[in-house]
Amino acid sequence: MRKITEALREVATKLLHSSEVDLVLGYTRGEKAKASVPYVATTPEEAANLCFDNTSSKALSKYLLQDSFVAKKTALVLKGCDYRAVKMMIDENRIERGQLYLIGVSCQGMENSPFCQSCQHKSPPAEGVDILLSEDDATGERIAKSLQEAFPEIEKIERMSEDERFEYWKRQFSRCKRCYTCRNACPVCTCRVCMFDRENPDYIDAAKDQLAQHQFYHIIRSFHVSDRCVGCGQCARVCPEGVPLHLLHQKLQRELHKFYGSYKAGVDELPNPLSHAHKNEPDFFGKVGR
Amino acid sequence: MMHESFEPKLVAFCCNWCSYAGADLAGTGRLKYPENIRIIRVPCSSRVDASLVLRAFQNGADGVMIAGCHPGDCHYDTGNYHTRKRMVLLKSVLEFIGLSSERLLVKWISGNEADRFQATVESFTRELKQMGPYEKARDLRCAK
Repeated sequence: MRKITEALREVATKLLHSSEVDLVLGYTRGEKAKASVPYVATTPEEAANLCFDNTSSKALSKYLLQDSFVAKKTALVLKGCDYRAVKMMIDENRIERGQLYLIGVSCQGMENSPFCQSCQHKSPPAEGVDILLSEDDATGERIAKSLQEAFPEIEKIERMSEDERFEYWKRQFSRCKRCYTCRNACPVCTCRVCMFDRENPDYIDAAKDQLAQHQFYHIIRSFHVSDRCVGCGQCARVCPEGVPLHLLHQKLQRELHKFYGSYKAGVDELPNPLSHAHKNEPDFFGKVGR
Repeated sequence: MMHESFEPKLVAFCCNWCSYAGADLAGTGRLKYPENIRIIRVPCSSRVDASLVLRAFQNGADGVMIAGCHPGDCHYDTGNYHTRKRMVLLKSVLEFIGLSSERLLVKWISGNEADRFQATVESFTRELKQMGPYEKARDLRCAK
């Protein structure tokens, strides 16, 4: 990844020097040097701190929606999954493409991430970004598994009986503190006012620790991001309790692909499958109901 | 296991234009159906989203029924296409989490199908009786 880091610093310095952008949003070495952390460079000197390696897993796209970034011309370091999220935001008119300078990086997959093994869109497409930085000596691209083959845990859960499944998810959900980190880290969970922050209707309340509300939160959230999921795996990565939330999202993705064709958020054009409906779709309830 | 004394609570979301009229017709036609049902009138079956269904279960429902117009007959042209698209997904995620998906019933009932409405409520109540009380998704805030 050294080459990308060097090229990135060069590009960032040039952009900041010519005042083409106000700031460059990227990664820098973390304090403990174990993983890189998000970093904002505003002067050409600061650009020397930027880096990109296989621990730069945080999705940067979500910062673009914060007030402090709105009126600024921003250059942004984008992996493949992050690019998909940005494309969603642009398509949905949440951010303006003209305000952005997209620096695509060819990602080799993050350390220890099961998502990257099944990722088919590691690098952003060259025509979608302003500049694409890549490693010339890309060492053996890992072969991407298909959506159906990634995450064998899903089949394992599907094979369980109903009560076993319930017990499994009860075990998982009872660890949930409802800290909403999964929601905050998710690059496609971008509603202006989240339904879980509203006080009325009080579907869930923050103070209580009980299963029904955990179920509610996770079912509804997975539902809301089901056709928008870009498979970045942030939800599972940031969860302090290690709840395998991605299994829910991946399961819903599989169902959507099975029923309504293989739409991929941020790769294919809008509309996404759950935002429209028409008569030619299969009717699973039919004459008898189900 | 049959729960003879158990009377399930059944929440039915009925679309204003077809199923509610069907239920109405069943009433004027003096057709008898179990009083376990609590009908909630909604403007269209697509008004019912996943959170309403889960909320009903949290609040003490043993079964939830969503009744809308037959596909193609929707008062708003495409409303029930949305319903069937969402609810089939909700059913599969309920199944996956281990909450019984058969406690959610989606059925198309038109305005003149009073007998179909009656038969549906009867058979669903019978099934719910057989399944027994549903405690998996109960919200403690709503416990009496």
